[in-house]
Amino acid sequence: MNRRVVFLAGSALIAGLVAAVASTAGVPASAAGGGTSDPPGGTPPTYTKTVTGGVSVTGNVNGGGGGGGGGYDETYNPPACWLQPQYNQPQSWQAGDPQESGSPQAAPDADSFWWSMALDYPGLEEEIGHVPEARNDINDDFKMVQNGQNDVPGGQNPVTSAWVWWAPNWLDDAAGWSCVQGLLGAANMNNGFLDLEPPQPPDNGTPGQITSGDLAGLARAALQLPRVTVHTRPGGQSDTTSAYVNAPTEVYVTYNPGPRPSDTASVRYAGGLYLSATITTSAPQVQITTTDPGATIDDNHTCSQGAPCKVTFDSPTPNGQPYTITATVTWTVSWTTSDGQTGVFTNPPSQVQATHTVIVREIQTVTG
Amino acid sequence: MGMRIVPALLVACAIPLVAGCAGSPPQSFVPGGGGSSAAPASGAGSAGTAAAQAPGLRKFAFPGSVQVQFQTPLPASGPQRAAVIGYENYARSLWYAVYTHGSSKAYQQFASGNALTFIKTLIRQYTADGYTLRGTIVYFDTTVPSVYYGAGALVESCVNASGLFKVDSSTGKEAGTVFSAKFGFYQEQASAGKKSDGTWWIGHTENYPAADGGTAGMCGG
Repeated sequence: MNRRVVFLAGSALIAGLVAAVASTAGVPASAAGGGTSDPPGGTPPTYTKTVTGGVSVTGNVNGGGGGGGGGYDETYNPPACWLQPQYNQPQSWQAGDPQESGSPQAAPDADSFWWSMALDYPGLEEEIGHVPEARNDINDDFKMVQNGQNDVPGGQNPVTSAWVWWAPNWLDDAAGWSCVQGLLGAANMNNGFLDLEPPQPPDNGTPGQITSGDLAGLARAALQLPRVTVHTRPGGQSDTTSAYVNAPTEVYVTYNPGPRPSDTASVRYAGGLYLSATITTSAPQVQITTTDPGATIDDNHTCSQGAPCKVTFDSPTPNGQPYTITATVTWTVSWTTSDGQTGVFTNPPSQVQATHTVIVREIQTVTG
Repeated sequence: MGMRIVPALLVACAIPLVAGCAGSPPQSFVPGGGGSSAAPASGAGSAGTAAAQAPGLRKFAFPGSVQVQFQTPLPASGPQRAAVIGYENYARSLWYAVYTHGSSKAYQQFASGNALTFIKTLIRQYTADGYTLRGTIVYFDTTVPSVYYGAGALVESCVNASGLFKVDSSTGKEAGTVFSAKFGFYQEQASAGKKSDGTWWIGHTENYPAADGGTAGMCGG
């Protein structure tokens, strides 16, 4: 684990890889004895982040802010792992690779990525230790590419600056690492943990490479739906709100930050933008329900402040227990990508529920 | 270009590498054929279920006072079955490594990443403290919710660790359960991967106490 930090300090890989490979949360350093080591903990099974941070997301994203925000909600089934353009040919190797922690020259490149992955495989690490000059030889392969030569015998030459190193990225949880193990086993990449290729367009059908659908899935999983608040007119304080039997109560909803969230996920590398996916949402559709079984609901599916819905209660609240008004807000979520692909997410539905309670009384009148 | 030889060797064995490249000599597995040869060497400690006789499941010579039980039958076939076999081998090798204070190196075949780190941590702790094990740990409701590219799989299992105790080797007195009370019952999510020799190992685990709810809540005792 320490060596990993040495190799990768300063790299964007550090946090994710350390978490993915050597996460010891819940495992106190109890080698001194006397403690109880619990099994490795983990992040909750939702709102994970990617390991290499190779996908950036901006807009209305979980946790707010840009750069991926709070991460990906796996309820929406984003891909668990994928290959993406991570570096280009000029980022193959640099003098002193793999760079050590604190080195002013330290920078992410293909060589250092290879070594960071190798450390996840103790058998390989041991093998390297048994082969004289193995470390130098491995680094020399990346140096060849840096110098414009293909390191794969018989491979296409020259290797220009437009060539791309494809590398795995994955969600930072047990599923993500499961996926990347399968991916690495199946992809047959020409440099083990990385694949050096001439430029390729997105969605070319190469297995494992991130597709428009994959990136849209990540963008959807990162999308944060707005907070919804239910209001009634006449107003008042929640449980003491006055609503009256047989007198329509207006109901409307508001959205924070806004009614139509959107975000964009992008795969960029030194060669520029490879692919982006933008999520857009329809106008929200609102459905109003209430716990008064006899209530009449005039629901226009918008329930905006300017065009409120109406609830007419049939009976007063029993024993002072308020009725609950529930607004279920549903969006149709669509995606489009920079290479022209489009689609609509239908399952699971994109919904938010919000509630409001009211005390309903009968209007007392004086007759005769 | 002559320098390609070594990298080629490494790449060839690297992905998904490991077992075939490991420096430690391969250790024999239980003979195949689904026969009876996989019965625990002593007592019922190593498995306690018929599944322990399945080809590929490694047996460990636990004493009768230590039992590592898997209650869920192995999946019938395919990567699901292979992944669970890898998981069971990982778990058994973990506890056998702890029991032997690391004398058994079998765990190195079945664990990497933080799973390997965890085993090493436990070995150090039990060795330094002079503890051994007594009791039973039960793995139940084991499932494989996802398989990736035929060579990676997520294994989820409930674990009842409340019956496995640390024991002072010199006095024979129990020194509490192996984990804190919070982890008496928990859910383990394990990343299984296929190695170059066709067997599977565990590269990462995450564990959630049943008391914390969520999907782990179903593992509550």
